[in-house]
Amino acid sequence: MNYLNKNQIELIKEQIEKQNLSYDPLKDELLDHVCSDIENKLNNGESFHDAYNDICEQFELDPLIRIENDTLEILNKKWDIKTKIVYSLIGIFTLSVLFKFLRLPGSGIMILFSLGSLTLLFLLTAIINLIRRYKTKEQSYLSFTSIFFSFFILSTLSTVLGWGDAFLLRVISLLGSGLIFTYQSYRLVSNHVLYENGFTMAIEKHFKKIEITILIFTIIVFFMILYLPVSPSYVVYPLFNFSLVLITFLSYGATWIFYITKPEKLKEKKKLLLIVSTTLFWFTLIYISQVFPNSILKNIMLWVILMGGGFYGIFNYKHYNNAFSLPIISLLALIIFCILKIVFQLNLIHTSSIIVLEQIIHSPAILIILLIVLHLVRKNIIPRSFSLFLLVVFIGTFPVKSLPNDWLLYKLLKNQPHIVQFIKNAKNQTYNNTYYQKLEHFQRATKTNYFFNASGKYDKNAARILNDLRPTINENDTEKTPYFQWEKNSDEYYWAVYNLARFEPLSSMDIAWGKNRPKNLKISIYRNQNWEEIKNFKIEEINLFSKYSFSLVYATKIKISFKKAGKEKYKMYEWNTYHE
Amino acid sequence: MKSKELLKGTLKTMVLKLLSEKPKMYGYEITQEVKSISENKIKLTYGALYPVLHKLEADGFLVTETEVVDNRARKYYSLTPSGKEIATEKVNEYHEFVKIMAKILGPSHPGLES
Repeated sequence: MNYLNKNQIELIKEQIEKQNLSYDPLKDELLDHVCSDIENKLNNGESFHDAYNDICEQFELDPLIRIENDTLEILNKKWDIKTKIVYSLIGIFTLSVLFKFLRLPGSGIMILFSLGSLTLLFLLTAIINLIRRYKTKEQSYLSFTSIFFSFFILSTLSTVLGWGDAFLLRVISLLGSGLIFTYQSYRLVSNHVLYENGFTMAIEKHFKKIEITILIFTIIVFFMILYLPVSPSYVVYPLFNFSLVLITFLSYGATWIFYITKPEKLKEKKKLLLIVSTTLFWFTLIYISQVFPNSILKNIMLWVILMGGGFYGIFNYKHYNNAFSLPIISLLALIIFCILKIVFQLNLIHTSSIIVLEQIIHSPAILIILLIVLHLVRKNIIPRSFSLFLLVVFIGTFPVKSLPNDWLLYKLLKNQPHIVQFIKNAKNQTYNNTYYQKLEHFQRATKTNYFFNASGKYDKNAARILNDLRPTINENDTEKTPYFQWEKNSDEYYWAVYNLARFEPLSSMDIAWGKNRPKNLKISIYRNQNWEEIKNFKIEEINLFSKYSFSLVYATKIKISFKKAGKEKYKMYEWNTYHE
Repeated sequence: MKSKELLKGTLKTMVLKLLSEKPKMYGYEITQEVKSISENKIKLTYGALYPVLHKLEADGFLVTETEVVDNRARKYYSLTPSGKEIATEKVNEYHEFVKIMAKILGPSHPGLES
């Protein structure tokens, strides 16, 4: 009878360790199983070397991590119900958004119920995960992610219901879960068994945490469609990115770091990893650079890098389904965008249609459509449940958000060719247009708190910027003083009209106001269906003014109204948020 | 090789039955026992076996004890009293099932002929 010596057992143990198992009870058992199997082979006359190689091959074919997953899945089967509850709550939440748009009763309580229950559920899951008996390291990390995520939902709930903006809570929650995801990604791809299919597996594994990803996504879509007062563009967009792509970026990023630190572990064809990972890393950097003013260089970088990554993805997507779906989507979006730009420049079709189409292309909805189309064209390019969810979000939110908006813009522009001309000129001179830059800076400034330092005191430097930006400041100015008042038919005037047309229907603002919602505001140009009257309006004045209080939470008052014969006829946009 | 589907449905019963015949067994021993009894027709992989063993243990039908054998830890499984009950129950259930299936899949049934 042959028995393995200590060294041989150590060798096998090392091989098992490399499989990156984290459920210890299984590890020892598998070691004994493999050792017994090898001993059996030795007794049948095989050499240790051959038997050991057989085992290694077997590990390649049927990685032990799969057994661990199967074991834990079977042990934790009863927790599946949690996923069902999460999906139901997300469904209620999506429905509540739709209800809100359609002005149907019960949306408020649905939001409170769905988001409140989700917060509780995530917290409970986290606690249960931490104390339960059978778990991997990954599940422990996930518990912390759940805690962070419940903070995130709580902050959103607080914002939506007007309890105050829990910005800090939101930032902490996102940073925390982001760090955990990054670490996990690195752990996954640095597993030598997984690296062969590391791309797909790492991403699929992440998408298994779908309830987190999709929920963030829903909330972000929700933020975007409602233009919540506390949703400045570079909070909203990074959040949107986080929900949809950042997790994937992190996976790629971790792969890239792995390649840099341990290049010998990647086979030749995996150089591909480097290319795509770098591409996506650049993409992330560019997104980060959104906090800086626009520049031509940034746009060129974005185009070149995305198109490079996208083409590579298209040529290789058969081999790497999930891994390349994002570059492909980006590429398709960019190609469409590029065609529109050319058509726009060459005046091939009516300019107003192009502007509308251009706006649609910028919409997150187009990304969702592309995901769905890609999924239909090639099965399993993204997990089915994720596509289904996107479909639900798309059906629920896209028609409500984009279509009336674009329709309004189209109608508005169709009847006012001089505005179209202005927009066209403005777009051509975007980066040279001082007024535009000023407005952009102002908008950026109004949407953040950077006029105020961390202690909530008035920041002198920021104040200087604010004063530089303000067209006029008089001692007698009150909050009723128009902040901008433009000469009729000036560029600024048209620019304002253009921006005005892009605002959300007022009905969607109700939700953002929460308990501070003004009672008598019932202007909804879509629902009243009085477009004939509106389009014949002679716009006499557009007012837009803001007032700041010098604290971390700020009060904002913005009002834009149409006037007819000196009498305010239609207020298109007005909101108040007061935090005492 | 037997159908994977059939094996999957009877794996738990097989393990319980084998363990009911011996005071204790370890994983590899179970696979070898199945291989031997089935005359090499059923090869139980560790991928199929261990999830079931762990589930049975979590459900309280098995208990384990670990011994150091040949320089490594070896985990032995044995049935708990409730495990013994369920083993008998499962085996009877299986025999009952086989009888019914034999009837259904046996020679043609005159009553069903048109």
